[in-house]
Amino acid sequence: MDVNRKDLATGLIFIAFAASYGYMSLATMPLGSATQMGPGFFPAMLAACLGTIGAGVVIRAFRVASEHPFGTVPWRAIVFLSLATILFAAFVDDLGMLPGTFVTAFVACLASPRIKLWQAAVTSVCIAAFCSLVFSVGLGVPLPILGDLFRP
Amino acid sequence: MDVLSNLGLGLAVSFQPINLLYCFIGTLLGTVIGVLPGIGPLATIAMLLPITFGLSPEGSLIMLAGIYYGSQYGGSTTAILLKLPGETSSAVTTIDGYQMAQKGRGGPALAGAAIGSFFAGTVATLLIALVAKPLTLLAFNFSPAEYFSLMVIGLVSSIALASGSIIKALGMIFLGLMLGLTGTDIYTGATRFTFGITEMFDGLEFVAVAVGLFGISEIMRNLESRDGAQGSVAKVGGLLPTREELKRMIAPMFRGTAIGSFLGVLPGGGALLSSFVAYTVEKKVSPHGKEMGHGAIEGVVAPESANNAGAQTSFIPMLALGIPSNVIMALMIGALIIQGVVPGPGVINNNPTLFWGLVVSMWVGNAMLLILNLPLVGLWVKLLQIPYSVLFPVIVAFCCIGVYSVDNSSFGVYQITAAGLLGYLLLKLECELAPFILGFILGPMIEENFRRAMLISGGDATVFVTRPVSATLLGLAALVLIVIMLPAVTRKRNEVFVEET
Repeated sequence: MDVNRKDLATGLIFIAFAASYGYMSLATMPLGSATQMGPGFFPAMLAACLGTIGAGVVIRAFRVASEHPFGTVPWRAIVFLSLATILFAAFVDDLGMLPGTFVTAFVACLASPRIKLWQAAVTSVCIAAFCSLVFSVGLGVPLPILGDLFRP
Repeated sequence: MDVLSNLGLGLAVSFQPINLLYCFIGTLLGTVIGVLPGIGPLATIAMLLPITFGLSPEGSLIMLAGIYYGSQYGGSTTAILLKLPGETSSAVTTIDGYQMAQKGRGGPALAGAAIGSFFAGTVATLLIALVAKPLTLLAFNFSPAEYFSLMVIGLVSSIALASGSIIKALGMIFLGLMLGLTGTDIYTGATRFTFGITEMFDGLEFVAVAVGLFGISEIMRNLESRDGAQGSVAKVGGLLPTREELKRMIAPMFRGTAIGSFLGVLPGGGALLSSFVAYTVEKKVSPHGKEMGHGAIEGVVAPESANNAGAQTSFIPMLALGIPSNVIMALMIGALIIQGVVPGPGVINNNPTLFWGLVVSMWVGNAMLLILNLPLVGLWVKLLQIPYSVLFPVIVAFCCIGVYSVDNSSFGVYQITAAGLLGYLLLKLECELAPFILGFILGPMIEENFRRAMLISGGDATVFVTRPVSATLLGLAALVLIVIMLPAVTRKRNEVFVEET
């Protein structure tokens, strides 16, 4: 029998969220009464519904076959795009707007196999300059163009 | 008359030079992203949301609204000239629009789309002015039970627009609601689902989640396929429609506007649904229905009028009741909250300049679009030559800077990463993200009203079905759910979404 793996995975994700959030609601928060609800009441209700739906999706996975193949997974894009945002979060306070944006844009460019390194460099320099002008200078985002790292 | 003096106030606000400028920037940006495939109004508004913090509430809403309806215009340009809908709501326009362009009538098709949109925008503006106020008066009688039921309708209807499995869309709603509850419980001060992280005591950052879900995961999906080949741009030719074409435009313009205005108000409605329905209806009732599909101007004018009307009237429930009927409106609510305006029926009375300024600015913006679009068509077509490989790093950088500037901390940027990964995984599993984000923003509101309703009724859950208005709303929600589950409707839904992609 064909199992619809997408539905199976979706159902399991739903159940996992429902179980962990439901556990947290029940174990760590007071439920209260129906009149005076505690912080755990509503999320526990939601978790119960989500868990039921998750079970339904799992059952569906064994009955309805998938129409579309899973397709390719663009690992390269996933890795570099995530890395680009993480690097920004981790270092922009120290680097400042110009270098921070350059690093992020450059790493983001690596997500596409069709961009050559020199193209990525040129694009990123332009983006960094543009963003510094627009956001730091123009709109007054309180992020210095050059961060503490570049100051004596 | 009351409406006239209010419109006068709106005119005064929207014609302030600074607001005219914001309106212009918004419509211009909207047109640009409408033309460019790969970025939608959703991602753009989410990205630009933080930039509007410094503006006045009027200015920021006027600009964000401009982006939304501007993108409907821009989307039609590429739909007609390239058979490439810049926005999904222009997908049906490609059918007849591109055929017309092939026959050398691309100019009149563009003109028809623009004139139809302008007409629809004018009517929709008037409609908002007329309907919003009475609706808020009605809403003042709403108790928490009614608000709860109203939000249930909004959530259920979002499934109607989602393609694919209904049960998965339902699950996405609950997932969104649950994650939306992250942070401090307003009644007891207890922190929930924060894992002890101080930054999460105020909840997950809505802008970061929206940007991650709709910006980053969309880029990941776009980078899946390697082909970037583009069709050839059809010749625009003269813009002026012939007298016969003008005559044939009138009826579809009215029908499209009526359909769009109506469907836009419905929860879950908006531009996309409006354009599909308008095209289908036009095909049935128009005397030239047989020609549709082979380059009939009706097939361009009707859906384009409808999507613009729908885009605008979807503001009605958002402004009058504080309930978002679609995801864009959910972002608008986010913008209001950030500006310190409490969304809900109080907005018209407490912030009349904001409300009427926004309404009139939509009309002003539509006039600007007419001027922007027709003479500058050549310029927009040039925009299409910007390769995606330049575009997406810009989007990534904007997303990071935008979210960083929400509260000048990098914690939100980490949330982009998480939301992007989760969003892509769910996209791959054929789960719809729109119901999720709607649940996410409604989560705290729906819980608050649920708890208040239960408190007032003394713990009696029947309050939701014994109060007539609440019962009607819940009944409607159940009806919507049943209707979309009917096999015939399911098939029809699938057909529509197949056409779209």
